[in-house]
Amino acid sequence: MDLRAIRDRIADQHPAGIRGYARPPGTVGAFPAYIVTDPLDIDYRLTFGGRTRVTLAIRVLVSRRSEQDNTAALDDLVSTLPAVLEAITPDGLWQGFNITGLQGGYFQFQNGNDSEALGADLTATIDI
Amino acid sequence: MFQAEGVITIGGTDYSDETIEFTITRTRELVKGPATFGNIRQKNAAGALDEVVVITALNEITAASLQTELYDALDTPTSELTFSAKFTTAAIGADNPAYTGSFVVTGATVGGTVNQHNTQTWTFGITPAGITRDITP
Repeated sequence: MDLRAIRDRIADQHPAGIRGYARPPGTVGAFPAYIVTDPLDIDYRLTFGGRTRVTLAIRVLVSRRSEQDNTAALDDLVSTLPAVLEAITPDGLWQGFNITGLQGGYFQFQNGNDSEALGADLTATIDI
Repeated sequence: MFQAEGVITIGGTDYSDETIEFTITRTRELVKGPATFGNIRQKNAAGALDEVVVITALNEITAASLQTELYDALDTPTSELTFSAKFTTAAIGADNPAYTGSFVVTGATVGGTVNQHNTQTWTFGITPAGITRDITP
């Protein structure tokens, strides 16, 4: 397993018009964006052959400047981004990459010290 | 013992990468005899030997998957598959035997529940030839 390369590839293969981050940045430079968050679970020995399964969240963010602003943009992303991410070619890094759901609903995201964003966490499992 | 990586071969193919659980259970039937006027103790004796393997695996659908191997075995006259199980990756020896034999495939399951990882568990009886515990390095 090469978790660093996996996160880098998921971020690097971002579609046009949205920025991808392989790890949580100090400040998100521009919206919309998604962040490959830190692993929630790693099963190092899923099988006798040593297959590994990583569970993590893909945090999807859109800008928000006022109450209820830009919710529609996040609606669009949580509708379309899962299929786009699942279609990333693994380049030998994983055997399966699935977005299984959205956990915890939409939430306010404090970006650095000033701007806010609206976010949602998509649960992803990666079989390696 | 902590179960780490091992080598599970079924039908001559290494399915370690798909196999989550592989256990061999050997049991003897308990035959009970009645107490008598001369001996009040119930008599217990060992009866027939039964051996089964339990396999849990990722239920892949590819041509090279274990599920396909089991599915196709059902169409063969004997419906039997050979197996070899070594529960560590170390060389075979007295403290790390390989268990070999054949089991009778009595069922195969295709498909699963959407948006969930697909695993299946099967229990198969061992053929009359029994299980060999190989400790030859």
